[in-house]
Amino acid sequence: MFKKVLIANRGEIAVRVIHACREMGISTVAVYSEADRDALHVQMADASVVIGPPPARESYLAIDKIISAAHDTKADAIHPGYGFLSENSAFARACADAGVTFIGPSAETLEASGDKVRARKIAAKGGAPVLPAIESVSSGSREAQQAVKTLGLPLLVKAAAGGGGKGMRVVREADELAAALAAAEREATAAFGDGRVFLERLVDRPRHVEVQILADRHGHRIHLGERECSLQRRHQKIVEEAPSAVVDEALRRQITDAALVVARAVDYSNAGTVEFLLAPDRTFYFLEINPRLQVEHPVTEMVTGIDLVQQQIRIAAGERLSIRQEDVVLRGHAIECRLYAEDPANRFLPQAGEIVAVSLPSGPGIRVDSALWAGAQVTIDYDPMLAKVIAHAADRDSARRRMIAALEDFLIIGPPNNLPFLRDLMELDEFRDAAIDTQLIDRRGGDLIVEPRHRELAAQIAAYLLAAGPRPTAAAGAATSAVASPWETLGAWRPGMGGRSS
Amino acid sequence: MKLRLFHRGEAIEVEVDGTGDVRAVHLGETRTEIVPVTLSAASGTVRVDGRPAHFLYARSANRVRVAVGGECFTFDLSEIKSKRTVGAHGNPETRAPMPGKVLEVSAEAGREVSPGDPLLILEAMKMENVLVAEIAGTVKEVHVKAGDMVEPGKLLVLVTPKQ
Repeated sequence: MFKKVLIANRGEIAVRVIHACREMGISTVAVYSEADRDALHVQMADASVVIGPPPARESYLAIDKIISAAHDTKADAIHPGYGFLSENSAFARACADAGVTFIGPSAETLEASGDKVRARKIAAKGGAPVLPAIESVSSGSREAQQAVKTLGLPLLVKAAAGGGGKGMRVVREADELAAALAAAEREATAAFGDGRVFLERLVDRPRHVEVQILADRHGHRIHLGERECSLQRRHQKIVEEAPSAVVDEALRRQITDAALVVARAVDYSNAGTVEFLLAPDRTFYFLEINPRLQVEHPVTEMVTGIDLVQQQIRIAAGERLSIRQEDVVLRGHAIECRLYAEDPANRFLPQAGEIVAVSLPSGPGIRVDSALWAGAQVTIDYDPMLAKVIAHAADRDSARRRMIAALEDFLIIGPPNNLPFLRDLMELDEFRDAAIDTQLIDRRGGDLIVEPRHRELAAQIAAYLLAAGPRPTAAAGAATSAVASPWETLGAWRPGMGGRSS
Repeated sequence: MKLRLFHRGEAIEVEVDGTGDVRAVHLGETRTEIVPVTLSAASGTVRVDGRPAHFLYARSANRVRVAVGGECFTFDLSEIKSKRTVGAHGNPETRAPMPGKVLEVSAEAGREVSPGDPLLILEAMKMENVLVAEIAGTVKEVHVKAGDMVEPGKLLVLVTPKQ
């Protein structure tokens, strides 16, 4: 087993990996950019190395700096988390060249997964269902117009190197195709340095269902059931759950079989996810392989009782899977909500600022994965996700109610966030009835944004504090409690931001 | 004690009666009794007409922030003069809501726009944010071009309202 693991990431996922390492008796090395000097993962790791200025390409994406940090600290493995370098085959190769184990699949598997067109071909060849597609097309080409005849409308333009909704365009009318192709190519070039796009038949009102895979380096592969991630906003997942409310035993067998077929076809090892689109007629189609830990992995951990990060580390260390397929039992239902620093009342624009005070929810079946602490800085350099709230209960509706209570108990004084929006989603009839699809939030648009519910209560408390609360004094300000740094100074407020904080 | 709190520019009149720990708070037509359970420098629990409410707060000379029930509110103690000159139905000025990079500018001086028309795309925190016109009118000034880095509050586009 490894003695020391370097975590090439930040935020809640770096903290998550540190927890797993600690429990396994492995010491940890954090890397951090200058923006993250005081970040929680740096506070928690046994050692830490600064790797550059705030922009990710000069720090968390700088392969050479991370490899030399691993070398200097004598780390024998690197956990990449998700995002950043986690799916980067050049990074996996650089680790191998430096004699450090990359905790993830092989560079070859990363390459095959990263190219959506190639992954599609491999999946189809292995026998997994795929949507009709034109795999090679460019704007202005003759195939483009032909595609409308071959595939029919509506169509989806997707980037071969894509992810996160970038380089994706919906085409509903034939005359929209040229502009959509050009826009997708431009966006894909800007985001991935690779402008290749392909066309796929669009399924309206699809659900997103994905299968968690664990595979060791000795040819043993199991699945840990499915997750449903149908509540998305602009192709970004917001709410995930396990199991899916609409997947019965028969469908589960089919879709997990298909996922294992894909995993075998790309010679998968470590933890990974095979994503599928589930059509309203209950047919399903391969979407892509996510060759890494997923943001939403906790819901699977809650219903299976299996620690995915510890499994990743064991597999990377060459151990055989100790879990057999028949050992995997799904218990109850888990829901995860992603908390973002964004303002739902202002077009969901991402927000920066200081976390002045925070109080995390707790209670039976509640888990919070976060890197939040009073004093943490939310900067514009990275993804605005602040935390994940996970609720686990005996059945879906109990988990939903538990989540609502947890979201109401989550208190943050800091930049605007989407907690009230998440609560509203949990209370939505469509979510309660599991009548959801990936287009629901975008389709409903602004009518999902409701007014705050506790403004009067907050005003009453504020007035009470002003009339009868403790006086703010310099002495009291110095004696800050463990919960928070209460005396916010006006100097900490950025010009132009203060007026917008709610 | 009469107080005027401003939330997002809107005034809320509140009156607090009594002395000591237990107070009556009047907000609009409602009278509410607030009894403290615990109160520290940054958090507390009070009973509001008997119902417990746990909250966090932060206080400075002219502002109180309260987080309760999963929501966070900032109350200014004096009216803050809005930097935006709000038109009849929205704001003619589009300012950078956060620091970021301008990816694309679709607004052109002289062109007519309707509410919701995209003006430019600002990239920040790995997200592309489409900034749209809030009012109907004619684009008067465009202050940025693609590739520019902007600071929060910077005026990006000015629209002359339709008469």
